[in-house]
This record gives sequence, C-alpha cells and structure tokens, in this order.
Amino acid sequence: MTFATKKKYCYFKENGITFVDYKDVKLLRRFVTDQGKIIPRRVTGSSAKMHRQLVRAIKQSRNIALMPFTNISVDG
Amino acid sequence: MRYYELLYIVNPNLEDDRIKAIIDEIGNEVSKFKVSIINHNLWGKKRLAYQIKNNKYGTYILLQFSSEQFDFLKEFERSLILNKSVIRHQLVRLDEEPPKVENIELIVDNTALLDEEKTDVPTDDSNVDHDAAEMIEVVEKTAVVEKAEKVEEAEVAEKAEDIENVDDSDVEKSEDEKEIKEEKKEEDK
Repeated sequence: MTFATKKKYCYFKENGITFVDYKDVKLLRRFVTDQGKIIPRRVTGSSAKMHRQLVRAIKQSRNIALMPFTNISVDG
Repeated sequence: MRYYELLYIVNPNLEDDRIKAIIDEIGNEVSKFKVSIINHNLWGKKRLAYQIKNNKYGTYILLQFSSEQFDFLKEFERSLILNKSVIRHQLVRLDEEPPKVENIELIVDNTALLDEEKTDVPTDDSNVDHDAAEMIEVVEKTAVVEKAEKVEEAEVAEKAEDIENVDDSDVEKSEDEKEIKEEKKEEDK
C-alpha cells in the first residue's frame, strides 16, 4: 500500500530567489517555528544550497536582534 | 574590490540630532581607511527580538561600503565596540555590489515584496480571472435578487404595517381591558 505524499518544492527555486538576505525578516519567519527554531529541510523541502544560505541568514538575523533566539520569553 | 555591509543598533533614547551626529562620526571613522561609502542610511527604530543591555527598542542604521584592502576591519570594529552609543553591530561581506538606494526600505523589503507577488501568482493565477468573472456574475445576480427582494420587502412591509396596526389595536384593546379590570378591582374593594 502506498501513501500519496504531497510533493515538496524549494520555495526559493520556485520564486527565483538566489540570495537570502538576513534583513528580510518577513521571508525568514516562514522557515522558523513559533518558538523560533529553524525548520528542517526535510519539512520545508528547500534545496540544500538554499537551506545553507537560509540557516546562515537566520543566524545573522538573530545576532542583530531582528529575530529571536527563542520565543519563550518574548516580553521580558 | 570587496563589498561590506554593516548594520548597527544605536541607543533608541537618543535624539535625532545625536543620531545624525553618530552617523557622521561612524562615516568619518570608515572613510579614514580609504573606503568608498555606497549607502549610509537610517533604517528606523524597531523593537528588538530580545533585550540588549536592557533596551527593548533600537535604532537601526545600515552602512554599505566597498574597499580595496581589508586589514582595517578589525580596527574599525574595535572602534564600534568602544563607541558607547552603539549597542550592537554586525559586519557582513557581500558577494555582489549593492545598489545605491535612497530609501533603505527598498533594500530590506525587496525580497519580501518579491515573495508576496510570486507566491500569490502560482497558486491563484488560474483561479483569479475565473474568480473575478464569477464575482461579477454573482454581483449582478445579487443585484437582480436584491431588486426582487426589495419589491418583496415593500409588499412585506405593507403587510407588516397592516399587521402592526392590528397589533397596535390589539395592544390598545388589551390595555383597555387591563384598565377596565383594574377599575373593576378598585370598585370591588
């Protein structure tokens, strides 16, 4: 018995994005859970190349306080 | 030639004049090192994702510059660390030459705009026109229906008025009856 799985596509390839900017929080929020964790590639379906860029961008974004490291204590 | 981008956060409690002074100060600091500044703009006051030195908000300033040499960066970063009004900074090397922009929002939201447009298009493209056409049809239909309804409503309203009149008379009657009963009671007493 086979299960019909929804085919996942690389978001960046579909939209022709070749460079992930760490300042673009709106885009990065898509690839992060509510807690602020980076969603794995196997879930988002993004290509390895773009995922590497994405991870880097998210970490840079966290460093400059545009994105949270964790969302548990949002209003401290 | 290498391109660099520095995003730094300045204390949000400072006045505009003071922030301008800091921008100039840091601009001068970089230009010491034979650097050509491409963009140096205020991004604005934003809420920080987490507190930095007990600050909930921060004023973001973006500086993009190009340089032939790159041994000065350590020294430059050190000057930023020593600068008390700069809460945090991040220096990133860019792969390509950044465009000259007056408004920083253009750089920052560029891809955001892109992704909004492009995500909506593939999913809704086939349906948009149909939807629009359907909407128009629906609107027309509803308009017709509304007219019919209005006519009906008018009729209903007339009937309702009649009914209301009847009701009113009924009410009056009942009130009259009550009064009569009360009067009778008083008489009984």
